[in-house]
Parts: sequence; C-alpha cells; structure tokens
Amino acid sequence: MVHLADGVLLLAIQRLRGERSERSLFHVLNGKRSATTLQDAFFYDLEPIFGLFPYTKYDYEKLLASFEKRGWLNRASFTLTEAGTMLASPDAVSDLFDRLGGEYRDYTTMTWKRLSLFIQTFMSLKHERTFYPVQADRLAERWVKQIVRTEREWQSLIQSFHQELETALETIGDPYATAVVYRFTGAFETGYTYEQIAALLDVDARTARLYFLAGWNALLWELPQDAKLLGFAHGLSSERMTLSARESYEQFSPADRSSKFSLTDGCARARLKIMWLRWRCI
Amino acid sequence: MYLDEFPLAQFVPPEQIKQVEQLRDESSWALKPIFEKVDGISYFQIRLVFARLKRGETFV
Repeated sequence: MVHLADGVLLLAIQRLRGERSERSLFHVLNGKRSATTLQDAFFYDLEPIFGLFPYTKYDYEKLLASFEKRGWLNRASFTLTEAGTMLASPDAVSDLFDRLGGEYRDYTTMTWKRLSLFIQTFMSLKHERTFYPVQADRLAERWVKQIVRTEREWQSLIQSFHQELETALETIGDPYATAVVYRFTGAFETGYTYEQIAALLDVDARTARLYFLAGWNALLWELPQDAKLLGFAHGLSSERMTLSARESYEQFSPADRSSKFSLTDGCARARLKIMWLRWRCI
Repeated sequence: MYLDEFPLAQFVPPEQIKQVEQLRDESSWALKPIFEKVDGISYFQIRLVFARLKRGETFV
C-alpha cells in the first residue's frame, strides 16, 4: 500500500533531480545545520521537511532499499523511476509537503509543547486531578509552571484561547484540524497517538504525524498577530536563523554601528569559523 | 532576508560571478558542470552565487 508519507519522501528525492547524493537528503531530513545541508534545503525547496524525519542511518537505508524494491527509486542515480514520479506527483503530496514548515520547527515545536502542557495542567488543576505531564521537556515544564502560578483572569483567557483555536482550525480544515485536535490532552482524556489518529483518518501513522505537523504549523500562521495564543510563543523566534547565528550577524550588522565589527572580527568574537558564519547569514 | 547585505564580491570575483550566471542551466542547481567549466572556482563560491540567483536577483 502506498501512503502519503511515502509520496512526501519521494517528492523530496524528485526535487533533488539526481544532483545530490543519498546522504545529502539524509542530512536534510535530520536537520543537520551544516552550510552544505542548509544550502541543499534552500536550493532544492526542501526547507519544509528540514529536520522533520530524524532517521537513523539504518532506518534511512531500509527506507531507500524498500523504495528501490518497490520499483520507485533508482539508487545508482538517486532519481525516481516512472512509478516513483507518478506517486510523487499528486497535488495532495505537494500540498502536504509545502505545509510542513520544517524551517520553523524549533518555533512550532516549542509552542506546541507549551500549549499542550498548559492545557493539561490547567484542566487537571481545575478538576483537582494529578497527572503525568504529556511533554517531557524541562524548558516547557518550567515555562508552564511559571505561567500557571501567576494570578490572572484565567477563565476569560481560556475562552479566548478556545475561540482562537476554533477559528484557526476551521480555516486550516480537515484532515489537518482533526490531527491537531486529537493530540490535545485534557483532565480526563489523553491525547491520541499517531496510530490512533491514523485509524480515525484512515491513513498510516507516519502520514497522521505529517498531518499533525502541517496542521499545527498552518494553525500558528493563521492566528492573527494580536492572538492571545501567541503568548505561548513568547521569547521564541520565528526567524529561520538560529539564535547563535542572529547574535553573530548582529555583531557586524551595518544597522548596529556601535559595534563596527568587520566580518572577520565578528567571527573572531563569536569564535566561529568564517566559512560557517558566511552561510549562516544567507 | 540577509542576501542584500551579504558582501558576495568579497568572496567571488565579479568575472566568476558572471561566468556562473551565464553557465547555469535554468533547470538545475548542479554544481559540478559549473565547477568543471570555470577556472579556479570552488564549490563553495558557486553555492554563494547560486544563493543570489535563487532569489531571482541579477547581480554584478
């Protein structure tokens, strides 16, 4: 059986047009932040899947071997066969691919962790229930603890969150909305696993995961700029650039004349190799 | 976003930039054909020029 998730990976191979090696795609899927990988993602329009498929080498090899065995992939040239090209061609595949938002994954992932943990915490507190945190992330945990302890008019705020979520979910539509909604955990109900969502949507678990990632990414960009929900992204950067690259960039930015560093000085201060910094700034 | 301010000319001589722009096949970002045709250029320099081309800016 062919799944949409296979189509997404085949489309990634197709976009490389046989001009890059199997290993280069492996690094893009894993989100390796090397100059070459960042450029490959940029040149070949693979940014939406950047870092969203953290395969081990073994699993990646198994995946490519299965594509080859099913007659979809020509491994010698790392190009698709006719059958593979057909599977990568439906609009549904490219739609899902381009919605994934891998280039913003740090921003979207942390926002999700905070919001999902907050909702679980808040609902459990309200119903005086103990719970196992749905997110095992120290930073997100600390952030939510701080928020929950502050004195606020929670009831109206929660209503705003709900309203904003509902409006955004309506805009992004199904199957994305379903995949997002069922991932939430409340006081009495636990969020669905990807397998359970897959059963709901009649797809495989990998596709369900992609629907969730695409849905959550789309939802965040659908929110109006003054949305209260964006409070969960507080302190997070939605830029493609990493924080360290941003700091380095600012050290020799023409806008910040107080520093007046040359490119080389900036690199020396940031203890970065110049070759590295050049690309992080592009 | 940061391409405008990137001092490309510091890293790739203008004549090499022109050569890369002329040699690039419209449908491809392959580095090797260009590497083989332009004397003394590195893959890294080709990538720098490509980055600018990708944004659809002509540039001397």
